[in-house]
Amino acid sequence: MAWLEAASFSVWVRESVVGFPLTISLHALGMAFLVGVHFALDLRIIGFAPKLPVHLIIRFYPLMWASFIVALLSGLTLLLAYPAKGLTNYVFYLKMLLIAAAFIVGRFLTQKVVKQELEISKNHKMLALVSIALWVSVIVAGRLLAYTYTILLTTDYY
Amino acid sequence: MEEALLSFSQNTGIYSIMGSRWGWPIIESLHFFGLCLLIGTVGLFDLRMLGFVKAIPLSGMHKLVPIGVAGYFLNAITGTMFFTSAPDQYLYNPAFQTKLIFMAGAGINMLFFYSVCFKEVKNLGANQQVSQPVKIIAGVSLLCWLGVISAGRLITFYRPPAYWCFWCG
Repeated sequence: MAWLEAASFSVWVRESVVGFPLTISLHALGMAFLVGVHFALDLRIIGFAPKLPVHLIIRFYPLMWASFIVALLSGLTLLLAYPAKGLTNYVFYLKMLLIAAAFIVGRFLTQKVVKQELEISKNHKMLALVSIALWVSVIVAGRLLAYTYTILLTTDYY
Repeated sequence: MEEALLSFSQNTGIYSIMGSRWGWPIIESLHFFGLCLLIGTVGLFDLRMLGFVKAIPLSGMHKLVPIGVAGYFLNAITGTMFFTSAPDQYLYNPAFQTKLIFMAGAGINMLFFYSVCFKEVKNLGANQQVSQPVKIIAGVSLLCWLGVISAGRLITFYRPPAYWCFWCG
């Protein structure tokens, strides 16, 4: 990982005035709309705003995917800046699994409630709560990454 | 000022929560949760007013806004917990000061929206559009909240004492 840490892009993200702050702001903004759109669908399924047509919420999905790309690219940038910090921390892999699980639950709910137009059942509502819980877990894991790492950089002479 | 804020934090027990092993990251996580609730409800409502997904009836969608308000209060509480537990890191921090300005902007904009524009908006159904001035209000709301998030995220990086801004001195 030492060569990655020494790569000029990696050094720029770590050491320039704007690199790290800009990346982390983009990561937060991406998260806001990625998780926000999922929350909107979940809340509607749980029973809030019953007069909001559930099939129209997914029309915000292009925004959700764009936000996901922003969060993904900014996340990769953070990983390139401090590869050992994330890759040596099991919380990082847990976060990736939680993101995958949250997407799978979101996709399942979209299929059932929107695409197949099934009546919203108690199980769907439970799953919507699971979806919210999974996204909150992603947030918690992400926040913990800043507190649980054991190695920041493998080399310290930059 | 700093001492008053700090003693508030200490007297209410907030300080010991924030100083505990996982206190700070857990409260931060709640702060991020509230932010997502706000953007997922108020943010999407603003986007609808701006013309996204016009088929959504604004009257029905507005019922999500109370959830956003709950997210806002969650963040006001958790934000106060950070701020009063380390006031010297916030009071003189240009990112925090900028965040407060965006929050004030969002607040004034919201008051204006509900006192002047809401009667026009609240009954709008599918494919009905708000007037041009209301679109501007929606845009200001969205920009202010994005500003709040970005400036909030920058608080960690522009800690005082600083040469980061022209008013830092």
